[in-house]
Amino acid sequence: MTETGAGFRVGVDVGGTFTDMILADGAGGALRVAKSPSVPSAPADGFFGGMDRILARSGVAPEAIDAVLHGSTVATNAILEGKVARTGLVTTAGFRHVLEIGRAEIPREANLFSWVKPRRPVRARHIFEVPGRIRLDGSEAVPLDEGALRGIGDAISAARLDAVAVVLLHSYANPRHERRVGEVLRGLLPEVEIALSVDVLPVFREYERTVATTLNASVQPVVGHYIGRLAEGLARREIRAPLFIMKSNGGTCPPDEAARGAVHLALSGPAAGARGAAWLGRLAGMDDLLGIDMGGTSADVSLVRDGEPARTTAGKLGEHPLALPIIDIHTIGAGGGSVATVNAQGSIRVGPESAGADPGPACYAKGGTRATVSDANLVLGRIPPHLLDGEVALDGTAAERAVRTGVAEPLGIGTVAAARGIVDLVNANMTGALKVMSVERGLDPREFALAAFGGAGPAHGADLMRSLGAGRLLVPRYPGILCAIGLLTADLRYDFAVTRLQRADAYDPTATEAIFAELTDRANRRLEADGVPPESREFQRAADLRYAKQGVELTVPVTAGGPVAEAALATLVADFHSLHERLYTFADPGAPVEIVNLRVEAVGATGTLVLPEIPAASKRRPEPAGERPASLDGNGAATPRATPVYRREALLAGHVIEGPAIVDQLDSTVVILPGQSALTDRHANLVVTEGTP
Amino acid sequence: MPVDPVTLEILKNHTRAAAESMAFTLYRTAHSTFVKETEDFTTGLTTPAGETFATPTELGATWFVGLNYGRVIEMIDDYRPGDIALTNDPYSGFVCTHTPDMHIWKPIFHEDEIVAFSVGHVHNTDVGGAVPASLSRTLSEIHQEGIRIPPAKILVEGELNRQVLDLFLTNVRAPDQNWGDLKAQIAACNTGERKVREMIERFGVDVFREGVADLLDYAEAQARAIVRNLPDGTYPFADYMDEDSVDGWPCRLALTLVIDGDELVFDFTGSDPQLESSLNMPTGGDERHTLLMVGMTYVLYSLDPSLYLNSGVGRVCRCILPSGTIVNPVFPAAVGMRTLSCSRLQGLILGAFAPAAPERLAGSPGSGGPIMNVNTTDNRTGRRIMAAINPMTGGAGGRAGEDGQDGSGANQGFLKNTPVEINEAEAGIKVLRYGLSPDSAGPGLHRGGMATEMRFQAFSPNTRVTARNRDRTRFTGWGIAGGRAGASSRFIKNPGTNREVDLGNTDILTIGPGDVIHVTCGGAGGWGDPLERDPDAVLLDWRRGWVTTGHARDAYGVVIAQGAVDGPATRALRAARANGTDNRFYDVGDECRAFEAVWTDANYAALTECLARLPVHWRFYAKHRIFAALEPLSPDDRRGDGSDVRQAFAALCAEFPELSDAGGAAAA
Repeated sequence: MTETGAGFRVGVDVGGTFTDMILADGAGGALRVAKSPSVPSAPADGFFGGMDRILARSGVAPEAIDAVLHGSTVATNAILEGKVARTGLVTTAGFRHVLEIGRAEIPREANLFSWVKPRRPVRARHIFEVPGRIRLDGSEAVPLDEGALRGIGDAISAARLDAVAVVLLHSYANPRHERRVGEVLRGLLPEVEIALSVDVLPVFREYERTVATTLNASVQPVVGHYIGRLAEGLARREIRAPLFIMKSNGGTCPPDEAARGAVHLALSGPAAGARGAAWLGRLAGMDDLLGIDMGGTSADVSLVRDGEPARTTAGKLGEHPLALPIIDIHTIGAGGGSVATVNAQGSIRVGPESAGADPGPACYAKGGTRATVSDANLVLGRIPPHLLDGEVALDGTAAERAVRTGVAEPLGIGTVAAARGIVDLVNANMTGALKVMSVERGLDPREFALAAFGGAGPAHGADLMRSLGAGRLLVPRYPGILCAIGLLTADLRYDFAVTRLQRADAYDPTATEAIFAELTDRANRRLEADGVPPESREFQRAADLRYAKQGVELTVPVTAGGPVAEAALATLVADFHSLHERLYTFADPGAPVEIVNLRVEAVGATGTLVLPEIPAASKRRPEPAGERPASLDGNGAATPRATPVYRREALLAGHVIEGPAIVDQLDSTVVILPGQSALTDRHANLVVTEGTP
Repeated sequence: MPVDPVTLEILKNHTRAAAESMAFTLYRTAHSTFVKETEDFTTGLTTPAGETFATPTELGATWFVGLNYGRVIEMIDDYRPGDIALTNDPYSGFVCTHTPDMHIWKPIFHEDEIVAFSVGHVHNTDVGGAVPASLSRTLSEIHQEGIRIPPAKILVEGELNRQVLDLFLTNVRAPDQNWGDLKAQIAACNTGERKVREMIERFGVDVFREGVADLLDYAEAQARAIVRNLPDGTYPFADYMDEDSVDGWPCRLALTLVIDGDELVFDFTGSDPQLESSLNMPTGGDERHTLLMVGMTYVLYSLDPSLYLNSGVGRVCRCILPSGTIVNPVFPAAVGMRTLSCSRLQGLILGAFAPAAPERLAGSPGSGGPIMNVNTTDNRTGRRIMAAINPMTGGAGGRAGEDGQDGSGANQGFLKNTPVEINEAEAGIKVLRYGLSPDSAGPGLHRGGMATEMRFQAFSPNTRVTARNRDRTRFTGWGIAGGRAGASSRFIKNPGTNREVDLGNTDILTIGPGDVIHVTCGGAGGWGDPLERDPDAVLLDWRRGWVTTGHARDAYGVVIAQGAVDGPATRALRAARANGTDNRFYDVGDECRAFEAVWTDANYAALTECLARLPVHWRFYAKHRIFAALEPLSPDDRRGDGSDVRQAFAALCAEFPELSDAGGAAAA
């Protein structure tokens, strides 16, 4: 059957193992999802494998597609695996070792004497110094030595570098030298990709800026090549719809921007997940949400406030600091494959080590013998003895043996108690991560809903809601494809920022307004180029403020409308004090406040998705499909007892299930604890609450 | 009854998260750049008796895991809910170890009983006294090192004690900063209290109490298991600081490590008498003082990174700390610069352990780099500015299988540098260079880490530069197992001009507009014979600009010509050198070797024995006289068996009737 009606949008989320696809029309009439294997060695093949599959299954014609949205791990993997372009760096004379030294300090838990610093994006021998100096107020102290640039150009050629980053001191205050270096090098080396720090991250702190710029330069050719392959493939399939790529900031951008600002794709996948959680939450009337995406090896925690994923400029990619605006995600080593170990002193821990996909948990019967979270869940009956509706059988005997020999016997306790302990510990670890994202940020979890997704999330969501004290639990109908949903719902989004330090005694509203206007102008031109009509453009001004000499800043939105005048800055400072109070328990209204960075966030509203609705239930209580022995709640001695099991696809809008209960579905299992109840909403989400609804 | 393993593990996570959360609160709320950028602070939770059971692992000076607040806790006799006490007096209870460290503690009540304390310290940029930042080697008694507040309540049942606060703030140079940092500390303690309440609510007070005791026992058991795996034996080692006072004599730290089953003894006998400068370490004779435990914690954690860190670790060890020495000074010895001696002490402990596990431990960390402060005038506003600009760090020592890390590493690894762009904004200086110092790494099969160097220019008259903790201009970081010592540190005014001045071991000076200062940390020690280092690895360092052609030849026997290794010349050079190598485990560097030729172990043993007979206030003086007496002896006249020292001592005692008793004993 061929589906008709224009306006299909396709989301393709290419992850490490699987590629998830979603296809939807604009009217809520059709929604198709599919999964295919990723091809890490040739990511574009994985992309088109998934694309061809969903197009063939849905019968949608190429010309019926309006937009293609894509989440990619190409930049992420290139950076984490070091498979990047040979990259050089041109920097201010006297500072060629800044990148190597970094911030000098060692990650806190690392072994001081045997820690090995992460390899920098650029080798020390490929860093070149150019004489010339801009002062911090933007004035020129030493003219740029253009003569020296020829020699540097020769050295770059001789070293056969494919990409070069240019990072000069105080370039955020005056980019003239940096731009000139870029011009000269482009003239000398037309084949070499060049990234300027003023384009990537024009804010102060030279090491963090250098990391962002060198990472950008080093993945530019990789991403550029990949995007070229995508363009070719789309053209070959006669898909003329525009392509949008997900960025770490939770918004999308067109291919040219992605190629130029390649480092902005570093957290493309997780950002899409947070975006998807935010959208689903809003749909379910939950604007304040904590998301936990639990997979095989790790759990990503995200925070949504007022329907928007929280963002940060103090994130990390691997061990690299990433001072760009990115979706705030806290990752810990807790997943279905997390291994439980007992050491010589009788202490048990779960994760961060993972059995991964190969050999995987013992119950996968692929040679794994160590007890994992999935094994514990199986021993407790929390997950069914088969996956994917019987396509994959789980080995309960192997799981029981792994838990018994790996944990129960060393601790001298029963196997069920040991399994319970493993589940409790992984839950405690995840609760800790959820608290980092809520309590540590001055937020009360009781005012938040928890969204549990990823393959393993729904089996732990109920425990986490209870231990965190969250108000409600949201389990999406398709917990495994939230990233793909995030793609379809994401808007175009750009962040523009620049450092301009204003001391407390010298705020300059005129200059501030001029900078905001300039940033907004750039943003407007960008959205214009993307074809976003003016009425769909939104701009949010913000500034980074700090108490004088504080080492970190807080980003505060500019709430006053119209051009910035003194009053707007006064409001800004007052808002800063309140935010400080909320986050850190006190404000210091008497202390001088510095305005450090000015930001404009530009959004072109393009995201749209209408989920189909499911039929309403005729009665409140659904019929269980059966029962199985399971131990769901936290009493370590509790032996498994008969527990009703429901089929997810059989649930209709308005159905209420009272715990203890289990809901099995193709790719996941939802656990509902005694005392909790789960309501199926009209979009087939489960909403779990304590007590009866 | 012990708490079950799963609950204990969950409680462990909670305690750690609580300490982390305290540190996070403190970090984000603190005001001074020094705190923000260098994270010189601690937070933690202790038992009612003061034993630390939880410290953060991600923020702050995370290695002070053995802090015991017991003695200061006892100095306040009545605690009520809402109280917070503080002290920065190194001689009140020996928790605070120099005046800038403001320690605070808050009792946490459950019903009517104290169940824990939330504690912590911040290094204040200045607490008044004779010099800005309150610290200088030149100071000789504690009274010069700023205001001292003995244990006192800063909050009384939740109400601020304005008298104590005003007393404090009236006596410091930048009261806003101190007050800002103190508020951050109070916020952190309150966070700690909240977290403990949550734990009690969740686990119940009995499980909480039992669990905390179990966590301490658990860390102890792990530490014992590590020690048990080291070969029993007696391992002596000594290291030096360049000077015991301004223009003084070398200062010795000596340690005899005894490994016996699962117990350790650190005998510091043989270390110098307490100094008339501020390098003394105030331990109060506490045989498990945290200053002494840090180096051991490093070593044990290096040997087993799964070691759970809390006060329980310290139970494997006992220190012998002769009174009136640098490791146990008596009032009113100055202690401000103990950071320097502590850093050397940590290296000393690492060095003493090295022969017990040479395949798993490293050469000397890079050391002797200062923490730099600049006090200048902003030409634009005319206002005085004081800013901590950077800690200069060295790398980590080389170790089996790996070069030391460059520019960062080892026991200074928790010090974060300040970005150049922030230094220029905050400190009114122009940074001309910040980078790695060529040829600074101790050569070895696996070389030490490179040291950092910085060059900056001042723009105003009367710019005061403080280079706190500078050292290693003479006694360099040692190499092990055939590895060589690192390069010495440097401090130069106006380098490369006709006004160049080598500032030697100076740590404070005043410069004017246009003056340039160059400062370098000492290099880290190497591991294994440098003549066995892969010539291509030497070439790579040469290409990075980290090793010069001359150093490649002299230190590694690698001849580099036309940008490549000259294979035949290298082989010939290495063959010719091979005979000259000695088999000593430590390479302490040329200066130290020359010094130890005069000041042999026997001479030091004699000195220790003689000085111990004198009243404390005579010892430093007597040491200087004896050093001066030995100095002019020609190599032929030196016996090196201790008799030179005894002779000088006897002469001294003869000179002063006050010492006749001691002298008589020496002659006998």
